This record gives sequence, C-alpha cells and structure tokens, in this order.
Amino acid sequence: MLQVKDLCKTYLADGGKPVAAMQSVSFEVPRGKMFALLGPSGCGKTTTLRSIAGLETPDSGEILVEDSVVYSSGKRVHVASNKRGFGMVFQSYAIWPHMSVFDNAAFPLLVPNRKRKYSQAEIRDKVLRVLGVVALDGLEDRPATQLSGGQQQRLALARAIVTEPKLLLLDEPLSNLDAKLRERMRFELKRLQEELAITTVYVTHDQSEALALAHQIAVMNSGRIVQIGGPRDIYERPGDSFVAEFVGTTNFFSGEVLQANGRPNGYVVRTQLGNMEIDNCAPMSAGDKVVVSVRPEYVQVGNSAMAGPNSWEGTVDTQIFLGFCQDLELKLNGALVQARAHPSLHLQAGAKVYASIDPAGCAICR
Amino acid sequence: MVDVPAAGGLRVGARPSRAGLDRRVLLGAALLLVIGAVTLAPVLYVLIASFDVSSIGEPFKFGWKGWQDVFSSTRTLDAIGYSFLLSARVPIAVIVAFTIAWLLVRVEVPGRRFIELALWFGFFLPSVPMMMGWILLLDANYGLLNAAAMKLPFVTGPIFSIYSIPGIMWVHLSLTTIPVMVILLTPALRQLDAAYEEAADMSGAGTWMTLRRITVPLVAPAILTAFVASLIRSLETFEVEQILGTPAKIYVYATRIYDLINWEPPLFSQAMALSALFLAILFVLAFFYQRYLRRAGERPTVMGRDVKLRARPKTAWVYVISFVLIAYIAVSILLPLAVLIVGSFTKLFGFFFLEDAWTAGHWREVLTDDRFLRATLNSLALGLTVGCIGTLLFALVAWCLVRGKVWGGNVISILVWLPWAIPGLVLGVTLLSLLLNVPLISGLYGTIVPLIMALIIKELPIGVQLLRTSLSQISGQLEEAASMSGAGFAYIFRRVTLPLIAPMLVSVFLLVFAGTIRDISTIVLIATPGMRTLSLLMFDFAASGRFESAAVIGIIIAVISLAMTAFAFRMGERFGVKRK
Amino acid sequence: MHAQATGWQVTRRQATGWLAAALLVIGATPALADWQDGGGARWQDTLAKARAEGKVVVVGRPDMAKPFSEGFKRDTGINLEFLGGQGRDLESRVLREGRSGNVTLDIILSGAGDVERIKEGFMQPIKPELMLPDVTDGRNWAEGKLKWMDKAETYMFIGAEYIFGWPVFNSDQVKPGEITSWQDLLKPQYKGKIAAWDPRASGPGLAAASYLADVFGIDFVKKLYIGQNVTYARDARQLIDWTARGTYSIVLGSLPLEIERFRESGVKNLAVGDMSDGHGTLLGGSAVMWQMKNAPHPNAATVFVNWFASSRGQQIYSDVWQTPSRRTDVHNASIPDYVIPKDGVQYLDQYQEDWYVNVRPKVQDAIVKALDEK
Repeated sequence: MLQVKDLCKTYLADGGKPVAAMQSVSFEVPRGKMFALLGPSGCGKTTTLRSIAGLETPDSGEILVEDSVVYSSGKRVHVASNKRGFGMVFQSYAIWPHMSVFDNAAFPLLVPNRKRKYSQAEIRDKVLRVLGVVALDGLEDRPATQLSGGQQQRLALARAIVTEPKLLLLDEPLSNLDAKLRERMRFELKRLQEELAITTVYVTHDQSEALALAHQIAVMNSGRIVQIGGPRDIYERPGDSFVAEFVGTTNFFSGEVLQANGRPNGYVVRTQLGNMEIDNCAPMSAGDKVVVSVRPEYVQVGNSAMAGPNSWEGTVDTQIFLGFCQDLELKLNGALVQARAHPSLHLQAGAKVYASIDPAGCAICR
Repeated sequence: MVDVPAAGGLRVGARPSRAGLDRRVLLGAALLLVIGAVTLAPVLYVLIASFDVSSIGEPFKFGWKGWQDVFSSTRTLDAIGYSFLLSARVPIAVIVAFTIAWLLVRVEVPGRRFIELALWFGFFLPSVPMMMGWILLLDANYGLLNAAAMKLPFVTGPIFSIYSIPGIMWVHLSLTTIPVMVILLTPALRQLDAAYEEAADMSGAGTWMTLRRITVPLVAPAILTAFVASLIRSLETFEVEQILGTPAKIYVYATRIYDLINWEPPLFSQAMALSALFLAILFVLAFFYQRYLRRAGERPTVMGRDVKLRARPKTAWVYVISFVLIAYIAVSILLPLAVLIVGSFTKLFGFFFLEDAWTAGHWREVLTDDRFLRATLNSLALGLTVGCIGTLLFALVAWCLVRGKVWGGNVISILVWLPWAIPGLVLGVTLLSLLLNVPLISGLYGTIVPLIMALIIKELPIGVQLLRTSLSQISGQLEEAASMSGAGFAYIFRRVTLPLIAPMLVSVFLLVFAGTIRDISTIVLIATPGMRTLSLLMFDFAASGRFESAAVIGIIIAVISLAMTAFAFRMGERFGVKRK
Repeated sequence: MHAQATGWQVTRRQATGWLAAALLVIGATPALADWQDGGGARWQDTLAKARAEGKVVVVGRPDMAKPFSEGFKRDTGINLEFLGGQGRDLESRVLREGRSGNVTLDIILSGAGDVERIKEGFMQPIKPELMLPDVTDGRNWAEGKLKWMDKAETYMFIGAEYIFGWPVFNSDQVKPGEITSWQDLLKPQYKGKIAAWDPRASGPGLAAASYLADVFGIDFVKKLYIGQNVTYARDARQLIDWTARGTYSIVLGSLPLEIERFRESGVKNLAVGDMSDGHGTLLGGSAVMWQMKNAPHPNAATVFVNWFASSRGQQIYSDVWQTPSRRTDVHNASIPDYVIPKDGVQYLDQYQEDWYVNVRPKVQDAIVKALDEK
C-alpha cells in the first residue's frame, strides 16, 4: 500500500558539514499493517516519516501510496502534505491550545475543498464517535489546555483519524507519557489499529514499543535501514551487532567458523568461551570471522551440570533481582556472560553455576 | 485569591501557602509603588497643568478654559480626525508585517537573514534624514521617481506626491511601521512550535486556513501588542507630519500640541488638555488589551520539548517570494538610503544639477567636529547602559506579572503603558519640571542619571509588553523543573528564564538601544551640553538647515545600530535556545 | 546684474568668504589687544575668576555652537559649552530652570519673546556687567548707543539688527521687474505660486505676516495668504529649496543665512525682492542676550557678556547669521545688502518691549483669526 523507494536526503550541519539523514531508504507497508521505524535519535527515522508526510522533501527517491505517486524526484512530483490525506500524531501532540477538545478533533473535517463537505450534524457525529473511540467522550467542551498528557495524546490520535485517512503516521506518540500510561496506551493503540485497520507507520526509539506494536520493523542507523523484519526475526535473528544490541540486550562473542556440525545450516564456531554449536544460520565456510549474538534469556542457568552442547561451568559475578526474573552476570571460561533466570532459582554472587546455550538461540552477526 | 497551581505558576521558594501569598502581596505592592510613581507622576502633571489657567509667572489657578478652548476649536477636531485617518496605516502594516514575518520564519525564503537585517536597519535609520531621501524621490515637482515615471508612455504628469496623506503614510510605513512590526512579530513566530502548523497541514488545511485558524490565533497576543504599540506611536509622531503635512494643510494631533506649546505666549493648558485626551484613548486601548490577555493570553505554546524550527518544504515559489521581498526592501529602504548617501556628498542636498555639485565637505565637517566624537561616545554609553539595565528590569517586571502573579498585577499591567500616554514632546517638558522641582531628585539634574531614568521609563511599555507575551508563551514547568533541582530565583532567572526568551530579549535590547540612540524629544530638555548625543547633534544640524550634515550623522547612527544588531543576534544565538 | 534698474538686488556672493577670512586674519593680531583695552583691574579680576570657574554655558541656535566655542576659547582661554536646539525646546528649559532656581545655564541668546519673562524675576541685570570701554562706548554703535529689548535697558541686550520681510523669487520664473510692489503679489498669475513660513506659528512666519498687517492692514494679509492660496512650511531650508527648484516662484519669510548658503553652493536663481511700497521690518534675530540669575559661572558669564558685545563676538555672530551687527566696526563685507538697514528709511521695529508686549498680541490674534480657514 505504501511504497518507499530509495529516499536520500543530505543536509548541512552546523559548520557546513554534510550529514546524510537518509541513504537509499526503501520499504513497503502492506494495507492495514503497522510498520515501525526503529532507531536511536538522529538515525533518520523522523526524517523518513516527515518525508512520507510531505513535511520534508527528500533529495531523491520515490513514495507511492496505493500506486499513486505522492513524491518522486525522477518524475518531479511532490504532492503537498495537506493534499496527501494522511493523519499524523506529533511527538509534542501539537494540540491547539486556543481550541476546545471538540474543535481540535473537528478541524480536519472543516477543511474546505475536500471531496465532500460535511454538514454540521455529520461533523458532530463523526467527532463524537472518534472521541468515543479514544475514550474522551464527555470532554468535548473542555479547553484543550486542561487535558492531561495521556488525554492530549488520545486527542491528537482522534484528530489524526477523524477523517479515516489512508495512512496514519505516528511520531514517537508515547514518548511523552509516563511508564504506566505508556504501557496502557500501547495496548490501546494496538487495539485501535487492528479495529480500524489503518495502515500505520510508527516512529520510535523504544524497541519494546516497536516489538509490541508493529507487524514489521525497520531498524535504522545513520540514515540507513539496517534490517527489516517481523518482531521475532529482528529479535531472534539480528542481522548485525547494531541491531542485536539496539533491540534488547545481548552477549557478543567473536570467533572463527571451524566446520559444519552436521545439522542443516549448523556450524561449530571457536570463541573465547570455547567451541560453540550454532544452528539455523546462513551458509558460512570454515575460516570465516564472525560475531555470535546470544540473548541473555537463551542462556540457561542451573545448580547442576547440564547435558548437551554449549555447556559450561562458572561462577556468579553479579546478580540483580527484578521480581519477575533475575539478571545475572556469569564468569564462564574467563568471559563475562549476561543471563536471565527464573526468580525461583536461588543464587548468590560467587556461587558456582552451570550454564548452557541453545544452539538455536544463537545468531550470527557479521 | 485561591492559589490554583495552574500551568505557568511558579512560586520560587514558596509553596502555595500563607507565606507565598504574603510575599506576592509585598512584591506586588513594591512594584506598584515604584511603577506607579514613575508612570503616574507625568500623567498627574499633565492633568494638573491642563486645569492651570494662570498666566505666566502667576501661581496655579484652576479653570476649565484650556479644555473648553481646545475642544471647541475646529482645528483641534480636524487634527484629531487626520491623526486617526493617518493611523489607518497600522492595520495595513499588521497585515504586511505579519506576512513578511511568517515568510521569514516559516517559509525560510532565501535571503531571509539579509531581509531581516535590512528591516532592522530600516527601523534604525533616523526618520528625518530618510524623509529627505523620500522627498527627493517623490516630490511632485522634482522627485526622481516622478521624473523617471514621466519617461514611460501614457504618463503625462507626476504620479507621486509626497505632501499628501498617502505620502505621509508611505514614509511611516516604509521606515517605521512595517519594519518595527516585523521586528516584533518575528520572535513570537519563532517561539511557536512548528508542529502546531504542521498538525493543521496534516489535517489537510491549506496555508490560508492554517494561518487563519491556527497561526494567527496562537500569536494573537504578540500581534495585539504590536498593533496597540504602533497605534499609540502613530498618534504621537510629529516630525514627518510637520514637514510633509504643513504644505498640504494636514495638521495632526501631535503637531497641534506642538503649535499650542509653541504659541506666543504658550497655551500650555490647552496643550495639556489635548494630551489628556490621548491619555483617555490609551486607557481604553490598554484596558481592552489587558482584558484580552487575561482571557486568552496565558496559554503556553512553547512546551520546551521541541522548540525546533522546521521550515516548510521549498518550492519554486520561495524564490519568487524572496524576489518580491528583496525588491520591497530595495524600494522601501535601500532606495531612499542610497539617495541619502548620495545626497550627503552634494553641496546642497539633492541639487545634482549644479556645476561643481559634489563635495566630501559635509563628511569632513562632521567627522572632524570635536562634538562628534564626544556625541558618539555618549550615544554608545547611553545606549548600552539603558539597553542592558532596561532590558533586565523589563524582564523582571514581566516575570512578576506573568509568573509571580503578584498582587495588583492587572493594575500594574495598565500602568506600564502610561509613559506612552503622553506625547514625547510633553513628556520631555514634564520630566524636566519634575526633575527641577522635586527635592529628592533635583540634585541629579545635570548628570547622566536622569537621562538613563527617562529613557528607561520611555521604553518601559514596549519592553515589558513584549517580554510579557514572550514569557507567557513559555511553559512554567520549565522553570519549575529548575526550581525542583534546587536552584534559587536568581539562578533560575539567569539560567533558565532568560535563555528561553532569548530571541525576544535580543529584540527588546535592540529596540531599547535604537530607541535610546535615536531619541530626541525625551532627552533634549534634560541633556546637559556635555551629554549631547549623536541624535541631538543631528537634530542641531537639521534645525540649522544643514540637512547634509544631519544626513551624515543619520547614516552613522544607522551603521552603529546595524553593527549592534549583528552583534546582538550573534550573542542571542549563543545564549538562547539553539534553533535547527 | 539687474540690481540698479529692476527693483531688487541679485547680490554677488563670490569670493566674499575669502574676503571675510582675509579680513579676519589681518584684523586678528592687533585686535587681540584691542577689545579688552581699558578693562582695568576689575576686568582682569573678573577674567581670573572666570578662568577659575573654567567654563560658561551658553544657550542658543545651534548654528552658533562651533564658531562661538572656538572664538571664545581663542579670545579668553575659557571653555564655552554651547547648548543648541530649537526655539521652544530651549525656552522651556530656560524657563523651568529660571523658575525653579536650579540653574545650570549661564547665558541665553534668543529672540524677542523672552521680554515677557522679565517680570518673573530670574534675569540678571547685565548692564552693570558691561565694563569694557570697547563695548560701553556709544561711538562704536549705530545711532550712538547700545540697544536693549527691555525699556529699562538692563536685562536684554541686542547685538544685531537686520531687515526682514522681503520676498525671495525664483528668477527663472519671475522675471526682473515683474514684481516691484507687495500689491503685485495679489495678481492672479501668482495664485498657487507662493510659499511662506506658516504665519500662524511664532517665529519668522508670524514676524513677516505682522509686518504686512502693520503696513497694509489685516485684509491685505488675508487676500495674500488665503486669496493666493499660499502653501505653508515650518522649515527655512524647505522654503528655499522649493524656490531654487521652482516648485514655488515666490517665498515669504525665509532667512538670509539659508539664501546665502544656497548661493554660495552655486544656486544662481534666487533673487531677493525690494518692494517699493514696503521695505521690511527690523528684527534682532537671535542676537538678544540675557543672563540667568544665580548663574553657575557668574564671572565667566560676565566675560561672555562683554565678549559678545565686543567686536570679536559681534563679528562671529554676523558672519554666522549673515545679518549686520549694530557695531560700526564690524566688517559687513560678507553680509548681503538686502538685510542691512538703510539710512533714512522708516522700518517697523519688532524688537522693542512696547511693540512686543502691547501691539504684537493683537496683531497675532487678528492674523490667526483671519487665516484660520474655517
């Protein structure tokens, strides 16, 4: 439904140094799906979103929505942002302080020269319905300035969807909310998006938000998309060490491929921990230098020796109790390894432990 | 007054408690006393003098004659009528200036830095020499533009006549009203989070609807401040009307007052009664302004998280707009300036056709005059002192009004306008009388202190109003955050409040600086011979018919102000919130 | 040129500047001793005290600032701080200082108007201060005596006197001989061609109109200013500018120093009219001097009073203002003829207390009533 092709943009930073904000950014979003652009600040995700919105003009590339071109450097097309018919929620919400809740939400319906003109009654009906959807019913006559942060966020969302746009753009919509509210809104958003089936592009720097909400995630770094995939792919099979580290915590072990281990796409890699068995990865050949990424939750910890490949004995270096789990740092063969264990396991710093890593839980980053 | 911790309510060091309330009452009372004294004294003087019908040398004698005479004269009524007719330039300027400011800030047209600087420059150019430039261009008989236009086909007679209502309005619009409004509106727009407009954009609204429904309402306090300030100023301008209006028999309110004072013997009670009318107009304006701000003013539009400026996407149109704006600057500022500069090198201003018409003598005469160096130093010293002290004081007063929520804040807000309630000319006389006759301050007469005080009082209205609107756009949470970090008031004010309003501070400083080094009427009566400034020296030259030398000094004043602008912009960018 | 036959003079102005400068150089060395001669011990004493006071503060039209400061310093060694400005501004300040007794100004050089202030009692009698024989000797002055604005001949000294009231023509538009009398100005072809200093504002405009009202009556004034649709200005420079450029052919109420400055710069089409039915009125310009009571620098003020009335001060004054001094020993070579009073001609003298206090207000009221358009 949304196709983004080869977007590039370079701007001059302070001191005239050119900075590439987008370098051949390409992706596609199918109808009704939620797509997340994930990355640290300054990675180009917001520039990409604003380019889709039409608030910024890329240097080159093409953007298509439902096969009609809204931007194309080659065809010299640039549909103005107010003609693209998208909805957008801004990071600061941009709730207009001089209007009531109702007026804020009704604004997009009042725009003239749309395909159709709404009657007063229709507007009222639509606005009240959308306010109901975002659970702001009953507040329509309040001045917008008297809303709480969460209410403002929902009002911004209501304003963005009141016209039932083809495409919804969300720019870090939850980043200004406190942790509790953010988690609740996460579910709300997901529910709404699925209910309304609006194609959505979601920009965030919070990996858990992206993993929780999106059907597809593009991880961006320094103006490039480094990996696109489903949440599980991104988490379990990070394409490189940047993705692995940015999306969750991970252990890196650098090493060298020794040989195939006999299972399909399985190899033995020599690392500082010792020889590791790794399953389900892209074909490699002996002698390749690789980095192995292992999520802490794939490190199994116990009080007694474990069977199977990738088993080691070591000591507990530090332990942090989190309630629903505990984070451990283990010393195995002289290397520090992060692990996550069930809270019921009783361990003290300095205690002897046994650990094993599932060969299917290892990912190869290059 | 129950203390509701509304947005924007920061109470330093005091929780909403009895202690906080007392402190606000005390602070408010102190502020009320000081501002009341400095602003009400001249007003009372004017009112009392308007009822003094004694002749010269006699003690005070009460009577209505001054009021009766002045308002029964058809000349007075005509003058008031003309004044209001001429003040029609203010709404025109609001529209043009808002458009320019918006184009500069949001569309980021190419050459915007040049355009902005040029408008500042235009505002700094002293109006009398620049008016000479306009006369030379637009005189119906010999104006250069008229001569040029007559070379065109179908033009048979002069198309411009400067001695007319449009002529007077054009000179004001091009040199003062439009530049000053752009100057006042630009920082307000700059402080506005671009997301407000982008949200409207994404809602499908076109530029026009966005402007009308979103941008204009959001910066309405700033627009209103600029409008009221310009309206008041337009009623009391004087020199341009005197020179351009007299030949066309256009007499305005301010020239009428001048005439009354200048009468032999002077008709002071009439002049003061007429000034008091102005007071009434101003009170009405200030009252509605205040009411409006109270109703709608305090809604922060800067939340602190995204004070980022984002330009709209560039299209070919921006180059067209840029061309139009630069052409406007060229015609409205650079053209008369060029004429002024060229004219300063002629023996007689604008007499290009004489044999041997050219000379550098006027420049030599001015630059080698020992009064010149002294006047330059005086101007700089006075401008910097008044600019720095004034801006800081105005910021403090504004803070007390917006955040301090001091007792009597509404009264103070109206009082702050009062120094403009009196035409500059009358204010000068009033200050002099007070200075000479009030025992406590009369010892200061002849020193630089009364000059500084007078100029600060004169700039009080614009300074406080601008900083006030600017402060109310900033969310109080930003200061509260600093307060929670344990910072004291002085520290918060210096490190958080001032940097947040830096763009407006820079503008206020420059306005005060320029106002100071351009000022004639406020200080002409209280400056000692040793404290003559460049503007007074220019005034002396102009008064003795030496327009050429006056032009030279006018150019120098403008260049000094321009250098100060460039410097202040740079400083503002260093200490303010980084944009983009 | 046409001076002899035509009824007005087109005065030459070339080289007169050089001439004046030469005379000044020639006169300088011997005169240095001259003007103070016979001052005696009292003068020397005053001079010494004045030097101790360091400076004198003088108020007047800004044109005089530089020449007076330089001249006074050169002749006496005392600094002169000059406070220039426009008429009413200065007067406001002087008046309020005088009334409050908080005085920072010593000497005021102004026009006739201050005569009304004498009764307020803040003027210092300066007659007793005039001590140099060069000044007090009647033989050095026109009509054998010093002239005073006040009847008591004590407070307001008048140094110079000139003829005012003449019209100025653009000689490209008004041919020589075309206008020889004031009545000629009423001819229909001059309607809309005349500009004047606003006759309702005090200063040169009112002085010119008062003169015409005095000679021809108020009806003439009305016929001229209203009937001929005269354009007003409030600036001497603007008036002359208009004439030189031909915007208006005839100008009333302009000042000699503006005319001469234009001529000096090479403008050749300005002609001053000499009207057969009225030769003008006598004014003192800004040559009226008085001293503040409780002046902060009383001795320096006394020195200035004597210096201003001496050949030194008068020479500088008349050179700057292009008006003749009443002193007989001041070089008038650089002064245009049209301002020098002629022997045997009766002029209306507006610089007398009687006329100013008793006649002027009535004339002024009549003029304003006649000229107010409504």
